[in-house]
Amino acid sequence: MTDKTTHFGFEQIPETEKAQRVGAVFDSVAARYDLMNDVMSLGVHRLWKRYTVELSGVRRGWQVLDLAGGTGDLAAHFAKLVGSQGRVVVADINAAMLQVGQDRLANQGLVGNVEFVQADAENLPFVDDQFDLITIAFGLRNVTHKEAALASMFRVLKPSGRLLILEFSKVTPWLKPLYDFYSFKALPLMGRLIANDADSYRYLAESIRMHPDQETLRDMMVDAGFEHCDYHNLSGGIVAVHRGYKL
Amino acid sequence: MSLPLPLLSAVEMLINQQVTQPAQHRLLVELSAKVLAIHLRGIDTWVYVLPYADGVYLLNQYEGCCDVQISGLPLTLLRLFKTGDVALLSAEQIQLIDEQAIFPDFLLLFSRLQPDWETLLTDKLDARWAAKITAVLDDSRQWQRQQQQAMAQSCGQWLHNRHLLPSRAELIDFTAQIQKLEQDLTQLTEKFNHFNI
Ligand SMILES: C[S@@+](CC[C@H](N)C(=O)[O-])C[C@H]1O[C@@H](n2cnc3c(N)ncnc32)[C@H](O)[C@@H]1O
Repeated sequence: MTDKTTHFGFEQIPETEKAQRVGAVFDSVAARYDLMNDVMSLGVHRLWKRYTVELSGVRRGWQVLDLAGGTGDLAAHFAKLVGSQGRVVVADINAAMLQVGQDRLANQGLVGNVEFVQADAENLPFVDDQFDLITIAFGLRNVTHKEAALASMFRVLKPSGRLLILEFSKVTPWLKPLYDFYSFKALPLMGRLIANDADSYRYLAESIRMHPDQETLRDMMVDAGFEHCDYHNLSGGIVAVHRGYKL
Repeated sequence: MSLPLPLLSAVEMLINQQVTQPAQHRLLVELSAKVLAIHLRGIDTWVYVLPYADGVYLLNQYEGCCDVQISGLPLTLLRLFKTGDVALLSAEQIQLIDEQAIFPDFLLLFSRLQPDWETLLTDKLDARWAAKITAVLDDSRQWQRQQQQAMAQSCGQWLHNRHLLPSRAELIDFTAQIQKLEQDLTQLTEKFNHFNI
């Protein structure tokens, strides 16, 4: 019997290997992840995340799950906004990324209302109907079975809760040549110079291209049961924020 | 209409930079479960202020209930926040609704902040738009400068970690060697002079 395959960047690999290979990428970039994020996006990722916070409608006392939360950028915003009555759970499959996030939030004095859980998005270890808000920023494209992950998120979301997906997406055509040059030439070079790790950054660029475009992702959300799904393109579609509700 | 996010983030950063005194922190902690909605009449724009222990969030959108709402013309509101003068509240252009009792705390918080852009906006009522644009540019520049500084710092740290930048000890050693070289050169010159070479 042949193994089912999936993509890892532009490479086809057995499905069973993807989580491990993605894990290796984030193990290797964890320590320099924040620096690379700033350099690669010239700081703009902060605004993309800030916009996601605006769309989240987050309120005091809410239960928030920041999935694939990595080094805790979004969680830091939410922890301040939900206050001491609320709770933010940062879940990530990778222990190294979680550790960086945990240290960083502790340094900012954000401790009382934040928890860190090592978990796979495809099979979330939480009871049904638990969260008012789930966010997943730059994480979904790394997940092997995206449908399973969306179903899992739907299950743990409270009725009337919302899901926000911030992810690289399909750029407008006029931006494409420049964007391709940047992603496939400049980005791996920066990865080599800054993190001494061109391959991981090549994977990041390739995985962006293999991720479903805006419309496809919205359809996937609808198939998973989310309603009133929409998306907002940012920076010419370099990234998009998808939003859907469990009603 | 909503304010551009970079502008809102820049103003928020300016405000949070000014929160330095313990009294301000105490006020923030007291206000941290409250939401203030500001309606900028004329440009029909809402800004939501959400305090937390170390600062405030300024959001364009907020779907929850607000504890107190204030509505007025942008420059009137700016003057109110700058001076903290509650007498201005009775001016007919300003409307305060909901939990009015907590508003003086918000006012106190803002009036203790004195970023430059406030002066820019409030002192130039005549050149209204010119002042506005200057302020916007100024805010964005400050924000940009902040971002650049943060990036330069991380890059500097990285260069240092990779031993691409000399450490302080290496620099001191290097300077000492140059000084020694200079001294040697002076001595040598003196000797040459002495022997009339
Ligand atoms: C590019 S980082 C994004 C981190 C953070 N959300 C941010 O925006 O900066 C992607 C994260 O997804 C995590 N991840 C990948 N596959 C995952 C999975 N199946 N379940 C949970 N997290 C996963 C990685 O470990 C990594 O921390």
